[in-house]
Amino acid sequence: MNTKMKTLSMAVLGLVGFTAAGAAMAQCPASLVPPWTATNIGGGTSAASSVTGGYDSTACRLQSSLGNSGSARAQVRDDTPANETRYRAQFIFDPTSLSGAGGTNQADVFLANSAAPFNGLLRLVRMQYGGSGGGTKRLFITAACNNGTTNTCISQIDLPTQAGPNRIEFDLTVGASGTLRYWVTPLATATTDGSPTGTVTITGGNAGWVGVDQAYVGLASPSSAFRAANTGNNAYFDQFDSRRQTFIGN
Amino acid sequence: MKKLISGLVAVAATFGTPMAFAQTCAAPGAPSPITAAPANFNSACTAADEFNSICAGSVTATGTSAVYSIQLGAANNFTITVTPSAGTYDHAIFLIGPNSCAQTAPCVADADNAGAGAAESLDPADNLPAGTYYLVIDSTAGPTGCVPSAVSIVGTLPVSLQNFSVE
Repeated sequence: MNTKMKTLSMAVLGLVGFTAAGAAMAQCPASLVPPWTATNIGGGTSAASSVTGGYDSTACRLQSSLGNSGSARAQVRDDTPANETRYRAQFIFDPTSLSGAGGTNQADVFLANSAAPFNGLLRLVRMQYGGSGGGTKRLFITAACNNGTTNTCISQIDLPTQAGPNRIEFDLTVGASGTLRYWVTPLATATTDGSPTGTVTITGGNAGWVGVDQAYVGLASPSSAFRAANTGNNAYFDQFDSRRQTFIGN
Repeated sequence: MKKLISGLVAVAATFGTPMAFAQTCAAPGAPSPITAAPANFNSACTAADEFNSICAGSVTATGTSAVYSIQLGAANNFTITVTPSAGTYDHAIFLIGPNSCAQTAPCVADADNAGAGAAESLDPADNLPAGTYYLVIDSTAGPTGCVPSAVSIVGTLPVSLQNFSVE
């Protein structure tokens, strides 16, 4: 759980950490629920738990690993959002123990879903860990967009910290002129609202998806190449924070 | 004289003719609804790409999917095995529900670890709550749609008889 509690305001949508509130203790709780709405664990030996070693002065972090199954998932779920047309979220992702080999070595690390599918898709934002083909660890960002063909608009970025924690934040606007900005930075790097790392162009808007209604954090949906290289390997997450309006930053 | 009888039966009547080629949530493929085991049939796979994601939207699914409904009563205990006809096809199978067939429905059980061309088997917990569940044959491995498969359901699927009348 976070020992670094952010200042909350009316704009705060939710703040979910990985231990009990304010607990600066070495022992992490056995259950992730609460604060999370639910865990979503399945597929072989997949596992998710709260363990010591949190980032940025926190006591605990989420440890997630996948079994050898294409439907493997080791996630926590947040049902706090309610058709949010503006959704900002931040979390820390540490891929140190994951191999970056193989361009099709991919697994989900974050999902922001709508309440119902539009054009057959439920996911407004999907973030995947992946390899570049040359061993570089990357983040693939896929946003729902009504572009008339794939219904997805995509961006990717090399993770700035290949062996250590990265801070990932995004700001999604849902509507006829939907937008998605993202920040992917080393843990300690200061960020500002006006200087995102990049954007995903939401061609055709994303109004049909209405808004964010559910979020998942943790590994899921591994490709066969990910399973070959990373079955049983741990990824770590911490300090999930989601809001309607205000920049989270660092 | 008309009698109305309700209770548990091992086998229930089918109250409608499944559409021959539909394999969607709205019109699950024949022999849906499956009410008794053993049940063995061939899945032709003439379905649409209805599931971009599955297991409450947490797992990515790709390509076309075939859907069958299974009616469960109390004290059920069963396994499902699906064997693809093509050695190159790596399918995944999911049991979702109860009483919901959508990307947002939770997964009761799933299997996707056997690899291309191999049979996948799922063994849900015994005594699932009674209701309608859906077997989804899909894939997580690539964009290729599902291929004809052999489906085998063994065990016990008692169902609650909802309405039986005798004139």
